Amino acid sequence: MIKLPNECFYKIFNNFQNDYKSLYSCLLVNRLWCRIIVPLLWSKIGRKLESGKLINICLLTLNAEEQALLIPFDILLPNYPKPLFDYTSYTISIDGSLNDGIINWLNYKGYEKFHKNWKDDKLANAIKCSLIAMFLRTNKKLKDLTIERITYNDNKLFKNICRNNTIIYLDLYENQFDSGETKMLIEVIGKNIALTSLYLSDNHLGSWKGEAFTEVLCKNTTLTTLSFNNNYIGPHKYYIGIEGGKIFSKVLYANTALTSLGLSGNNIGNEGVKALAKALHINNTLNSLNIGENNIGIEGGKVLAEVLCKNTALNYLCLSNNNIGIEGGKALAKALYINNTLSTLLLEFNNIGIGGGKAFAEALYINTALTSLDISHSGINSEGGKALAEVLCKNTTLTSLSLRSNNIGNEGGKQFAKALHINATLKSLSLSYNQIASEGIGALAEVLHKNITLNSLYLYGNQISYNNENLLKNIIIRMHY
Amino acid sequence: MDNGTSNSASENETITLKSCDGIEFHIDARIANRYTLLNNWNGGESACIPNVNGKVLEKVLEWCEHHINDPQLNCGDDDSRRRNTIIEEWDENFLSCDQDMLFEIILAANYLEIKPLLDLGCKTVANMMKSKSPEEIRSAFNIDNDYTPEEEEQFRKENEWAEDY
Repeated sequence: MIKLPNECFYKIFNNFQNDYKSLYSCLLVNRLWCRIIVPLLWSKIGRKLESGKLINICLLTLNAEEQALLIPFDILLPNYPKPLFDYTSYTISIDGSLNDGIINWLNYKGYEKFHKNWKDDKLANAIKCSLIAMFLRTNKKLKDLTIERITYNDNKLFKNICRNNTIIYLDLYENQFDSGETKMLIEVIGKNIALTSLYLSDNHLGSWKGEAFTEVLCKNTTLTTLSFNNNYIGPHKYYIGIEGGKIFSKVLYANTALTSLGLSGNNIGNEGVKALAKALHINNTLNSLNIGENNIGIEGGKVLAEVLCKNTALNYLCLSNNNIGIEGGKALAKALYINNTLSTLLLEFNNIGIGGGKAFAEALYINTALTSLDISHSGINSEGGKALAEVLCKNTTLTSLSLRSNNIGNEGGKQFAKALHINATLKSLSLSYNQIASEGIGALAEVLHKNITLNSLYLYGNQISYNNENLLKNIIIRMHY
Repeated sequence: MDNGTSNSASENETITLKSCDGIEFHIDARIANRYTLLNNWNGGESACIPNVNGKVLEKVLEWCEHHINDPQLNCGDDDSRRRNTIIEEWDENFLSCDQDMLFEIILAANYLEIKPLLDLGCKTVANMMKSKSPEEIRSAFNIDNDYTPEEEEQFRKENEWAEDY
C-alpha cells in the first residue's frame, strides 16, 4: 500500500461517523491505524456508555482513590493489564446512558443480588461517582456532561465538576444536592465562564439561598440556557413557588445573556407570574420560556397576554397545564393580533373551552408569525374545532396544530378534511382522541390523497374501522392511528 | 457561468503546468482559479510540480475539468458533504482505477489542495473498508500486521464494545 500522510487516514476514517464497527476493524489492522483511530473512536463513546463492555474498560482506568469509593461494596473490579491507551482522555461527551451501562455491567458480571430499584442502589451510585471522578481526572476535553440521579457521597467530586473549565453543557437532572452542594452550585454560576447550558431540573435544593442565587444569575453573562423545572427548596420540599417567580423576575431584569429558561412545575402561581411578566416587558434577550404546570390561572394568562403585546423577543412559550380557562385563553388569542414574533405557543390542558378555541381561530386570520399551536385537552368541542378548521383555509403560516382530546367529533373531522383541500402549509395535525367516526376518518383519508403538504396526521383513539384501513393504504406513512 | 463559481478568467485562457517527469499540460485557466495552488506552477517552462508525475497529473486534471462548473463549497458545508455517502456515477467510474492510482490521486489532491477530490478519494477508500474484518482489510490493501499477538489481543479486548454498534 502506498504511504499516505496521517491527515489523509484521518479523513478516510472520519467517513465512519456512526459506524463504530468499521472503526473497530480498522483499529485492529496495524499500529499506525490504531494510533489514529483510538482518539476518534473514544471521542464519541458518549452515546454508547450503555455498553457494559465499555464500562468494564472504563473501570480499568480508576485510580486507587476512585477505587476506594467501591471498597465497601465488595465487588470484583476488572483486573486486565493496564489499558494500552489513556482512552478516556479523548471523550468529549458523557450522557445519561452511563446509568444503563452501569446496570448492564453489573448484570454482565453476574451481580444478581443487585437491587431491582437501581435508582436507590448504593452500589450503582458509587460506581457512577467513581467513573465520573475518573473522567474528570483523565480528561481535558470534556464538553457535555449529563449526570442523572446521583447522590454525591463526597464533596470532592462535586467540587471537581464545578471547577471544570471545559464543560459547556451540564445537565444535573434529579441530583440530590445537600446544602454544601447547593452553595457550590451557586458559586459555579458565579465563577464558571465556560458553561453555556445548565440543566437543574427535578432537584431538591437543600438550602436554598434565594438572594445569592439571584445575584449570581443577574451577573452571569455566559449562560444562555437554564432549566429549572420541578424544583423544591428547603428541608420539607416546598416548591420554589411565588418566591421563585420573583427571583427569576429580578434575574430577567438584569441578565442579558439568557435566551432559554425552563421553570415548569414550580407552582409559581399568579403572583409569581405577575412578577415575571413585569420583567418580560423589559427583557429582550429571552426567546424561549417554559412556565407549564405552575397554576398561573386566568390572571396569569391575562398578564402574559399583555406581555405578548409588547415583547418582541419571545418566540417559544409553553403554558401547558395552568388553568388559564376561557378568559385567559381569549386574552392570549387577542394578543396574537398584535404580536408578530411568537412562533410556538403550547397551551394544552388549560380548559380554554369553545370560547377559547374560537378566539384562537379568529386570531389566526390576522397573525402571520405563529407556526406551531397546541391546544390539546382543552374542551374546544366541535364548535371550536369547526372554527379552527375554517381558518386553515385562509391561514398560510401555521405548520403544526395539535388538538388532541377535544371532542371535536365527526363533524369536526369532516370540517378539517374540507379545510385540507385548500390549506397547503400545515405539515402536522393531531386529531387523536376526538371521537371521530368512520365518516370523518374516511373524509380525512381521502383528502390526504390530494393534500401533499401534510406529512403527519395523527388519529390515535378514534373509531377506525376495517373499511377505513383499506382506504388508508397508499397514505399510510403519513397517517398515524 | 453557473452561480457559485467566481471565475474571472474567460473560457479561452489557458495556463501550462508541467509534471515532475516533464510532461506539459495546457489547461483551462478557470481550473487554476478554483484551486489556487495550481497557479503557483503556471508557466511550465521553468517550474514543474514536484511529487506529481504525468500519469497522475493527467487524471487529476481530468477530474478538475469535469467538475469545472460545480458550485464551490464553503468551509461550513464540509460536514454535510462528508455525511453524504453517495458518490456520483461519473466519479465512481473515474475512481475505479487500480488501487495504486487511487492512492496517488489522494496524495496529489492532498498536496495540491484540491479538497473535493481529496474528500471523494477518501470516501472511496472508506467504502472499500466498510464492514470488512481486520484481516480482510489487510489483504485488500496489502498491509502488514505489526502487532504482537498479545498486543492485538489486548486491543481487541479493550475496544470490542465498538463491535456492537
